[in-house]
Amino acid sequence: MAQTAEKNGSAKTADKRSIPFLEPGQFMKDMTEMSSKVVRGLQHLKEMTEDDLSVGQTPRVKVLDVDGGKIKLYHYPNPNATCKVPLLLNFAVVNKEYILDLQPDKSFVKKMMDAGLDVYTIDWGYPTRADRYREVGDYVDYLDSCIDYMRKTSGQPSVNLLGICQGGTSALIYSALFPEKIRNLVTVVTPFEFNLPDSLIFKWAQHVNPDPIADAVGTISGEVMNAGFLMVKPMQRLQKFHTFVNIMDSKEKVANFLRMERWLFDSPGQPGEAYREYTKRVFIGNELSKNEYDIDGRKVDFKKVTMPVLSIYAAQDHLVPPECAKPLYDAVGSKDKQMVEFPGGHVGVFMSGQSQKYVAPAISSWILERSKV
Amino acid sequence: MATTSGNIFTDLLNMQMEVVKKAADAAGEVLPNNITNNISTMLGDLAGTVATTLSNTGSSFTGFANIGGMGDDAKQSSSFPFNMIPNIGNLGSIGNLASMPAFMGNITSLYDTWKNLYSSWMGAMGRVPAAMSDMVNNGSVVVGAVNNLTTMAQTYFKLSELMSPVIKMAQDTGLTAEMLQKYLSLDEYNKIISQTFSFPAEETMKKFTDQINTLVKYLGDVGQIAGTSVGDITQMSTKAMSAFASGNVDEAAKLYVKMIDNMQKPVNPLTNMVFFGRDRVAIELLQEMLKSYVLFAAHYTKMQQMVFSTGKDALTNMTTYIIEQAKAEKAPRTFDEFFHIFVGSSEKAFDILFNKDEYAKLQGELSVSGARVKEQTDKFIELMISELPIATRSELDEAYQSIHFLKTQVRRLERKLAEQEEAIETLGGKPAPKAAASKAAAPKAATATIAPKTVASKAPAAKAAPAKKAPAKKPAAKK
Repeated sequence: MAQTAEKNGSAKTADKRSIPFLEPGQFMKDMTEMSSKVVRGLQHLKEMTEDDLSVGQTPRVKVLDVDGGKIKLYHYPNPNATCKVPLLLNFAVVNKEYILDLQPDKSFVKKMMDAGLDVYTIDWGYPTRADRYREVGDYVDYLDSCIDYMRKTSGQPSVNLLGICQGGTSALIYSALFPEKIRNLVTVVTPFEFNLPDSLIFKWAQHVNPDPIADAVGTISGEVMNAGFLMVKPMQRLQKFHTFVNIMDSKEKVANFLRMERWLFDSPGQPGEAYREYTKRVFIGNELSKNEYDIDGRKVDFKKVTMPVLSIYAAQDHLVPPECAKPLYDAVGSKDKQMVEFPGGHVGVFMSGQSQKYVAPAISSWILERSKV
Repeated sequence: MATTSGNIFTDLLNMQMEVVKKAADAAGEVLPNNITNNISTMLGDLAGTVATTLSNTGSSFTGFANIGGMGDDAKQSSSFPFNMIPNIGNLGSIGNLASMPAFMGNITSLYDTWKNLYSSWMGAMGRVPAAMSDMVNNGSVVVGAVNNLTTMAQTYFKLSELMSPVIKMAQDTGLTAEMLQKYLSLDEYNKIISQTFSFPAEETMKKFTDQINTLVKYLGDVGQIAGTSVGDITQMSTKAMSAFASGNVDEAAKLYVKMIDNMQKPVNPLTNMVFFGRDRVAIELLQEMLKSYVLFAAHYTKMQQMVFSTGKDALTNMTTYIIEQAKAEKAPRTFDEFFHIFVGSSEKAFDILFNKDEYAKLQGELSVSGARVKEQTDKFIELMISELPIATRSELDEAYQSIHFLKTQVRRLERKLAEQEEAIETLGGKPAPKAAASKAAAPKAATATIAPKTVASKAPAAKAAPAKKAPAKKPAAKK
């Protein structure tokens, strides 16, 4: 027999008057409409092809294979580039970089190119079990290879580096180790302070023992990583698909929605050793914020980050909350530094209409001002 | 609205049934076979909702149970590769235990159930294609969206099922706050929560604990050789099962672990048991593996208990909120409005749960026990296939480790060489080569390949070259 809410005690204060609540007729009408929308939605999905959902449409050329071709550096040829210092967009290893060029009207890459920048991105690939022994230091090495290539081909002693999320953290580490190779550093929603007991992911991480997990699976799948991130707001999934059903009359909106879904769940895994190191030393040990991190004995001193730094965080970011990203500003040794708050969420900072309109132009202007040769 | 049956409910439900039928037809046309089952389930739930509502309204409408051949479960083949293991019966040297083909069959089943439980927790957050290539080649972006859509639709319609008795009451006699509290069923609510988190059906969890129990009893049979009576084993097993069933999962886990540990007793020369070599390793692995299964089951069950308990809080919050809104004449009038209240109140309640140390700790324990199940099961399989002419995963891991070590060394040497070349050029007074070119001269179609350069300045000699099967740089040293 069903338990009921009356057992919670609040029934004692229940009101005997009739209350206006869901109207039966309206209720059934809503249910019928929802059913119809689902059916119509299925029909729209039937017509949808992969071409409708293509991503990364801005032409680009693979210019460098790293680690046997598992990692690739791409260049976006830009005949209108006016800035001689090339720009590397470095996204998280656990996400695909094409989010920055998701569709023509939502392309961070295109915005940078339109502003006259010479843009490169790294596709970090999909680590397999064979890559399980990669460490954070390996990724910094790979980044170094890409940056050296850009320096050589551009003739510039240093490049502009823009890192997003975990890609921002590796960009920051790299800039501390090779400050002479970085002209300007931009970090976007970049985690830095990990001692955040009031923030779910950081709180949960304190109870994670990465050893048995890394040992058992070798490379932590994107599925597992995603589950952890999405579990922070489990009901959002219901909310999201409720929204989805309500936009299904528009093929364009459905395509936009599905492109974002494609990116969201197209998550590469994390090599076990890098995961072990990141969890133990960065999440639990908080070594970045304490300025105690080192790579193979070489200290990563953020006071050596002396190039101009622009740091952008998102006010409503539940993955990298402001208190996680903001301390980066004080930690770096730069004299020319700026911190900007974006009034939105984690992905919105580089994907939303507001971002396209304000954030991208602000970033490109900031870089151009500091990249005169 | 004009009615044809004299009852607005029946009319609207009949309309909905038409939609359901169309949906069934559409599903048949639109969807690949592998997701038709999901659609069928969704439609089945919808039909169930309709049937329940019709039943509540006194209608005798029937015939929706089998729309589109719904409800047939796809037969799943085992993902546990025991069929590859040769001479399974030869493990008979470890006594009664492995001479029973049923024993291995039971491990297979247990592994499959575990895998379903393990993946369902992650699957709750959306289906994740393995790689981009899969998505492009078989259209799985759309397939994934349809799957998610149907899951959401199932939840949405289940929520309407929860509200059905309330609506009926409102239609018949008017709705009071007391009725609202009485007729919002916690069991029904928990079904929705269960679906949101992809918890398995109650019977799956029971099957899992039954399977564990069966295996532990097998081990108990071996223990009998050493003097443990059948009565003792049965008694302990019954107690453990009973503890599980009553939700006392810690107690159940303790009892099972005790039973498994008792298996050490027969491993002595006075019995027929072989206590060394591969069979001994197999016995120990089995013990550890079963303990991990027990701990996983305990953690998983506790997680479910916590989530359901939170569901109760969320339901209370929701009804309290609705009543307060109703008093202010602001109660939701449409189902969509109600849906948003449901989502908001649930999110709030789960946020409180997720922020508890107890939850964070349990989540950590669950992930570790899941990982241990996998690690020990993999080891067990490796042991079983050790005589086959194929490389095991562990052997490949050793090769990967050596390759990684060598790649790192090459990078470091290349870096050192480049630095030395640069120094020689500087000493020789030669001008540094001009920058390669402008960006226009960058390679077009051709792709350059250079080895990444090292960050570390540590001398390569500091690390020994990897010995065969024993690379110098063992990740274990990092733990």
